[in-house]
Amino acid sequence: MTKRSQLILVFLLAFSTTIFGAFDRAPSWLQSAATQRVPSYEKDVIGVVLLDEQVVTVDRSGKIVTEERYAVKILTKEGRDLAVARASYLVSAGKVGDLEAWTLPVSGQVKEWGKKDVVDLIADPDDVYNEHRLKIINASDTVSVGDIFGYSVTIENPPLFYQDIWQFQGALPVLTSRYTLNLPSGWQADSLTFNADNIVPSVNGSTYTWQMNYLAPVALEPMSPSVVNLVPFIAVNFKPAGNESDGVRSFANWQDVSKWSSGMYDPQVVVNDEVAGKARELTAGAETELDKIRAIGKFVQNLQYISIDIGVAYGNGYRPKPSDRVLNRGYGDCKDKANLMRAMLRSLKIDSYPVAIYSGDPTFVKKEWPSPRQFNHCIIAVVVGKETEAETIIEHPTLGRLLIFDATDDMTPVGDLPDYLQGSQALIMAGEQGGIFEMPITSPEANALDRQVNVKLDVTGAIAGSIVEKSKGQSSKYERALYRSLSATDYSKSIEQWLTRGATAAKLESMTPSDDHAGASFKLDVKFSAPSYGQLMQGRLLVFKPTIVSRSRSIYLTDKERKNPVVLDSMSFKESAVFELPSNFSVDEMPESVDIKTDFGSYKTTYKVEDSKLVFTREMMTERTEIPVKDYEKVRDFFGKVLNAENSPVVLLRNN
Amino acid sequence: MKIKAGIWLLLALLCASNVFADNDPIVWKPITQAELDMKEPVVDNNADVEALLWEVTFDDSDKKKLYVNTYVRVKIFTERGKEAYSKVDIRYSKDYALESLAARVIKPDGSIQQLTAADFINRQIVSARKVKILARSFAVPGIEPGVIVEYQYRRKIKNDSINGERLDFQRDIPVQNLRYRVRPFKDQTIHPTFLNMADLGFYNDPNERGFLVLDRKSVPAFKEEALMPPEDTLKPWAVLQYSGSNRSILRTISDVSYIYSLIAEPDKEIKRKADQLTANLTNDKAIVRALFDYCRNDIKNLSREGTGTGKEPKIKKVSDVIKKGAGYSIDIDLLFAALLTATNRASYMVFSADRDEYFFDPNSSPQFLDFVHFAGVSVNVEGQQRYFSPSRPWLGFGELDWFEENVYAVLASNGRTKWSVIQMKNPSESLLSRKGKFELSEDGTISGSITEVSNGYLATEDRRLGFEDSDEKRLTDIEEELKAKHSGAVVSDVKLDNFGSPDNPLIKSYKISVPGYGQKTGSRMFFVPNFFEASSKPFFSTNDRLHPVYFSFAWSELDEIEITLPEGYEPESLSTPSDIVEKSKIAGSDYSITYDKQTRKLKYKRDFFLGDGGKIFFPQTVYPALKTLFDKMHNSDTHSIALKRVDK
Repeated sequence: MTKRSQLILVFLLAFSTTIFGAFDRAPSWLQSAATQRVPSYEKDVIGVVLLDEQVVTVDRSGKIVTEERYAVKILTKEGRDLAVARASYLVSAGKVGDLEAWTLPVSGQVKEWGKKDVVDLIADPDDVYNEHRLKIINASDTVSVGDIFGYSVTIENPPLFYQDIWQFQGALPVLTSRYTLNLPSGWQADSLTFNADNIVPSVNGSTYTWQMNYLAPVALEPMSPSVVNLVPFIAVNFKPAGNESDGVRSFANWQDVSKWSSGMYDPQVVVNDEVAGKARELTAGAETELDKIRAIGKFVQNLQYISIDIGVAYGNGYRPKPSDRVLNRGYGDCKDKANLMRAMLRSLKIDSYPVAIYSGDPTFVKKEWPSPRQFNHCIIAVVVGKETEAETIIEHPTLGRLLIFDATDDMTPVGDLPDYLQGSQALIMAGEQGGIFEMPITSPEANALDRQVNVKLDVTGAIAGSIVEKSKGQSSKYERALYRSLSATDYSKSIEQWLTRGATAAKLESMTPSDDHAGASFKLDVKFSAPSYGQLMQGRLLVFKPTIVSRSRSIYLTDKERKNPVVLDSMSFKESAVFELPSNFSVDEMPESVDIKTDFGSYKTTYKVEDSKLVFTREMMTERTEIPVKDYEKVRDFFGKVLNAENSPVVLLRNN
Repeated sequence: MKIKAGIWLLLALLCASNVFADNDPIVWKPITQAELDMKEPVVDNNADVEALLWEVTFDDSDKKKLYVNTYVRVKIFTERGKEAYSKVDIRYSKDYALESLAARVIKPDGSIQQLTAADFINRQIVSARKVKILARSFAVPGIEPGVIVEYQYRRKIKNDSINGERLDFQRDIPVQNLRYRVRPFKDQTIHPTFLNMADLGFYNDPNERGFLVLDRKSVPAFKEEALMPPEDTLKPWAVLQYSGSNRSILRTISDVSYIYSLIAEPDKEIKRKADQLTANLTNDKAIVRALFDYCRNDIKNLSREGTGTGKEPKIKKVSDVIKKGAGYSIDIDLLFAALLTATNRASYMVFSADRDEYFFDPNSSPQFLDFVHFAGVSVNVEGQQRYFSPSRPWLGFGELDWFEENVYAVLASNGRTKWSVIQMKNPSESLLSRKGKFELSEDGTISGSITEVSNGYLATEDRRLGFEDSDEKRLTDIEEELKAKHSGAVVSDVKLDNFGSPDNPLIKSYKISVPGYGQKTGSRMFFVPNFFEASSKPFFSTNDRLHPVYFSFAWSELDEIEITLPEGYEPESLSTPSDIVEKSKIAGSDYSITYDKQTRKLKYKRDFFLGDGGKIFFPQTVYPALKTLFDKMHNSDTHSIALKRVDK
């Protein structure tokens, strides 16, 4: 046995022998939760949350103590994984009180879990340093279907903001979900409700309670909005009565958030000789403003992404490292990169601002709630002149023309923006002039894929020919990412697999990928052959599908009923395929051309025979849209028709 | 608040700077100009990063501790290489201490950026009771293509020695010089045993007395492929052993089996139980079956189901399992052995190889005990040696898992041992039989009822992999798999019978309707008569192959399909797909299609098999032929039929 496996074995053995503590009774809150009537659910619902409660107590010194109580009933074997108690904290400032848990079995005595069962682990082991940690008690191996598992914990944290979020449920059904805020006398709170009708708190003195009961499970469906955009949640603000928002812990508007954030970022823009020298060196050959931005943008994107945040509880998660240090070390996280770019641009007399944004879901940020807590990523807005043109320029009423750029995503060059950021509300951190603003959405034409197929079909059904693909914008990003992430050998294999999915036994003869990163375009030129692509029937019919590659093989929207809206991404492609037909065959039957136009997209095919050549074209375009449930049948029908069209064959008949 | 923050930051910095636990001077090996100038990788033209040197030094001169020094020098060639080496994370623990970590980056111009103490960050990955797993990590500054990244560290391992240490001679990146240095304990002789590679001779390190060296040069990176044999059968590796420490597997198993035999000695309770279970039974097979069923079905397996209470029951002797009605896996298998003994049957403990881990052959492989494991109990039933593991509820009577069959095994009884070979099932014993009755409608929708019956390894694997799932999840998985396979499918009446009865075939049944299955073009409709294979993908998708192809076991498939064709359509082309048979009859598929015009019923049959004669391993040299064979079978499996509209 290797030393490493010995180490793992020691670790596993240590956990495989968890011993229960005294058989104490469960606390009254858990017993009470356990007596609730549980409705019947679909068979795939793995558990039901009986109680999810957080009691947040704020004292006058600003200290915040959060008590969490959670109880879940296990409904299926898979639901056993729900029997885990979790408490997250920051090593720099958080204090976790006793994490206690109980199992209430279907029959038998209550089992208590305590200190000796707690495992303390790092939240993200991949980060070089991350202050977020978890304390967990994992009882999943010991519970059975029908058991109830509950836990409580108290966490003390210095508050960064007088703001909080309470999500009433995840995907599981919840019987009682409650958020209570105990404020010092004289303080007051207000809330905003999202994804549900306004939830009014019950107020008793300076104690506020928001509660929801009997929440149904959330169906996990393909092409659905994220769970957080489906379930009800509240955003809560609190402060001493009569006090205006202080712009440090509480914010009256987005301008306040901008001013606070700028205070974290601006002092870290250090333009020293090294920074200015590097900027000059990078832009030595640049003629235009856009060229300069491109040169610096590419350099910053290529710095290694490394996140090391120390002192997160004191706001350091919102403060970049000094730009001179980032340049010196050659690595940084998103805010470090954006701030270094600002410093370099400033040395060239180009103004710019950091932009806080949520990465992963363009609909996540709620404009109605001014709060720095809504963001997880930082990009940059560069002030540009009229001569600079790009799809990602926005017109800001006071800051002027701003070129939006993600200095972290090294697959997306200046002039383009990752699709998961496009259209998102984002905070432009420009002091008093800053605020929330919608990020640009590039046109479908700017994200296009154009494919040209030229093949010769012989009498046996074998094909040989070429495919040339030209992609632009975010379409090119995915091609580029594949090309860059795989070794040359593996990339070649991936292209071969792409061909084989469409044509059995396809052989890649040659391949020429060319990546124009600055121009946000990618070209792939492939020569290939495939035996028996067409099927010869009784020596007289030759049948083949004119869609060779990237043929739609399945639709994800298979269910007849739908519970959630359908989310579509923006995309477009065009393909023109020319088949040189065998000389003694002529086209007997072709599929009918298709032309579908909907509010969310379009699809079109054409077939034409010219000089013993079959010319097939297809075009598809979808807009970024959220299609309501009532229109589900339309979108299902659309993709069904696309699938049908792409699998329809052409029939050739041998000439007599 | 600010003071608190300041104190914390100070502590963090102090913690971060506590890197060099000892005062050993850090010595870097000289860098050559050729290494600085290197623009292209040497071992593999396509490499993103290449180790110029990967040296591990074992110092076993201290009786109580083993020191292991690691020295790595890598050259970065591409952005991907930069990404891969941008941060380094070295795990350790209290008993596996990490010392003297140092790192530096050398640019092509020879300038060196040495990491300082503040660059290293200590992290506690996991902490629980007495276990702590720690890591020391660092981000590599200024990393870019062309630079050399170099780091070294030492581990101090308490109460350990190099005896039994594994040396890997291939890594996940190409290595120009892969070197192991070994200083054995005083007056001891150490021997390496090599696997999957030619023997390398130890030589004395000219630079440091007392150290022996093993060198391997120009080692390409190890790359994984689908359907490849186990890694340990492909990768070159070695094991170090002190002279006199190596015992044969048979001798060690002899000792182990003697202890097991003592545990499984039948006492009164065992004899009473055996009598009770076999009362009125005279048939040999029926008696063994009764004992097996009791152990498998009536004893709770604590290894799989958990204790439920967290309290571990004390099982001192096998009869305690009967009293408690519960035991761990090994207890259950030993109880079966004890019950067999109580009925005067000679049984053997089975210590089998695992061909999912390593292809072990006692005649040519080294005698490492890790190559075999306790797999169950063997007994002669009606003149045939059968193998059993009642502790595994997915296994039927006389079955082991596929990786424990077609392997060598030690059969042991009361300290006596012998090698034996456990045979693999032939393809017909692992049969998937799929039957479907369908109707194809005029709009191309196909609807039908299907029954899929599997046995042998196919059923065992389904049961083993789905054993932890609930009944609901198994049914949901079947439905989801069908929907993924047949786009737009509406699936109903899904059933899975006999999942918990491993002595019976596994039966899956469902109803399905797939719109657009028949593709219409003008006056014709085309469809693939083999509904089960219609959406299958080619088995092999690339033309090149690095490793041999290895199938887990032999199996066969029989598809019988009846499709009622839509009114108004008649077959225009009713060609039968070509039969595909490999010359030596290792694999093949044959087909038949008939059509009855009166009833409009089309009958399709496909018969497939692979691995006849136990042939499931194919060297890389025959890959092109194997791929061609499977491509042909795929073409035949997805063969279409043309229907032509006719006037009514």
